[in-house]
Amino acid sequence: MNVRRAIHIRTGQSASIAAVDTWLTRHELEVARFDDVYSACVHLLTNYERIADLALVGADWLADDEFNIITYIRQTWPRTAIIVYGASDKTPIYDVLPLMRTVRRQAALDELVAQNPADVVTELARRAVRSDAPTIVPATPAAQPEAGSITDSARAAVEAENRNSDSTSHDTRESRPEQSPSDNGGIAPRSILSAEELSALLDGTDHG
Amino acid sequence: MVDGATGGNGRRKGSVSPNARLLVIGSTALSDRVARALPRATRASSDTLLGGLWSVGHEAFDGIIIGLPLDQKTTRGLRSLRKVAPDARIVISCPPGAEPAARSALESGADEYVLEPLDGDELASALRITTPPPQTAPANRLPPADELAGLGDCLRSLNDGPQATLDRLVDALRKAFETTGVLIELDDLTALAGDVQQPVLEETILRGEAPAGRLALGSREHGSYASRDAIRLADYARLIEAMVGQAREQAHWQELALRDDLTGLHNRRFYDRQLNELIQQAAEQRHRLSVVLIDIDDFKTYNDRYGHDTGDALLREVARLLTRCSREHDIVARYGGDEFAVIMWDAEKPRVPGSQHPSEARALADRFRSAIGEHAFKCLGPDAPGPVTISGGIACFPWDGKTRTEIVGAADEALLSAKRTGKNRIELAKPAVTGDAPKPADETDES
Repeated sequence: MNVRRAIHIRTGQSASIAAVDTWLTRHELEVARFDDVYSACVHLLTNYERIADLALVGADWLADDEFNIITYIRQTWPRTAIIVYGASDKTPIYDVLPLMRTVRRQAALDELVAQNPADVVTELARRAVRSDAPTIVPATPAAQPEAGSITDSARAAVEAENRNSDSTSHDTRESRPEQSPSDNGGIAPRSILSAEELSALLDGTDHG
Repeated sequence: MVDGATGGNGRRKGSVSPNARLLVIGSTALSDRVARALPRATRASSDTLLGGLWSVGHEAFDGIIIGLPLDQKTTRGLRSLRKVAPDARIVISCPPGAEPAARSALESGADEYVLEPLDGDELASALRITTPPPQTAPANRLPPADELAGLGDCLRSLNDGPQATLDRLVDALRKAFETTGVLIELDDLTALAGDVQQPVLEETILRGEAPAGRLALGSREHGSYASRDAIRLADYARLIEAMVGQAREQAHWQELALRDDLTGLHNRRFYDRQLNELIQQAAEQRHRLSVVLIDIDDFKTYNDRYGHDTGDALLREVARLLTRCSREHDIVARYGGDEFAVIMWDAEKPRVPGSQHPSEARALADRFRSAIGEHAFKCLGPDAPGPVTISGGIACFPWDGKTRTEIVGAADEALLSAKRTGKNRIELAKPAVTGDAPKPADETDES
């Protein structure tokens, strides 16, 4: 899979930010970097045509009301892989949602930056295919999201994760909470990718 | 600062409509307060700056009101808001203690700040919401019903001529303004109702931009005039000019409709109408009234010999002579063809029991005949066959009839009699009642 463009919202711990920046630079991705969610939001609103293949969001310094940036990324770019990284146990687990992954431990972050970004995105796409029709609100101007729609789902997963004491699990089938239309701002959900789209996506990857 | 409670950098100069679309970023309570302060504006709200920013990216807002703690995060959000919505008016709502921070926020993209509690005028001013000046609805400018009724009477009097219209207008205005008097002077017309020795309110009546007259009111019967009365008076001045102008125009057309084109005399339509009115008046006031029907003897001969143009000239000349010989209050009309009619009214003293046919009518009719007979008609030239002569028949009210038809019929009979008995003579109608002392039908009770 060809991964060329990324955005990085640098609202995490400095060490983590540096590791991610280094990773993106090493793989020669075109990166738009933002020090706060507001400038990132402006980018989404004004440069939505510059679709990123990968979005990285530092969670440690995000205020509760700023996690919605993840929802806005998803609404703007439905096929972008989103990785949220943060050391705090309170960082929501977005793995339950397609093309999303949460990295909550240093070891996991080290493991992430050791991979090729294309492999990471491919793996997330493969998981999206395996998952049972996950839902994402499409990005349309009329679709005003309810605050925390994605994050709420992810946070519900944190609680389940804590109960299972396995915070690194990527198996969404076991931890995915029920998601109702209201989780997505009351708008009827649809699959992020159709079966045909995912099939085409996977055919184009370097990894099989 | 606005009234010491708002401050701003005045970056945006444009004004915003009262129906502005606003975004409130802050608590629900703030949104409610904005709703109360600016009830005509429509609102969207977000409880977070990021949510507000996202909304601004998808919808155009005229103004954004932010009621959040003015910390570093809000400052960053402000800068982003300004980027996404460069034209929206951004106003910070903050408690008085946060004013220094609000002032700093102006450097980050806010246009203005207002101190809580929110005041509608201050918020509108900060958002540059301009309320158009209240316009008096046309319905409010309509006079009360009784005043309208008075104006209706004036409109109905347009047919009665400009003076009658003006006379009704002064009465209507006197009631409308509850004044001791009204004076209207317009061109050569004047109308006065009550006393206007010392006008209290005065308005020039303009025709176009030139003064054409004046409208003056005496003192108010109760209390004093209000400024609104001066405005009303100016309205009335325009109305008066328009109404009198209309009355003049109507009178002009009426005059044309009642005149004979050839001779300039009144025509038969006018004559009939006038005769009806005068008969009624004579009956009520016990006056005598005489009708003289005049016919040019052998007029066909002149037409045949000299042509119709000369015939027309002859008719015009006879008309002029009849007018000259009649009295000011007599009515001379062209009855049709070469026939003329003259109504002589108020020529005699009021009837008393035993009155007889008026003698003056006969004398006047003879004057007509001799004046025409002696006149040298230039239109006929030196070879005129002889003097132009007329025959006439006289009928008098009430002796010869009580209605127009009866009187005209009697005069016509007398005229035919004059023609039959040699022309160039005036005949009195045969009395309707024969006897030694003829009495009109309506005076039988007076005998």
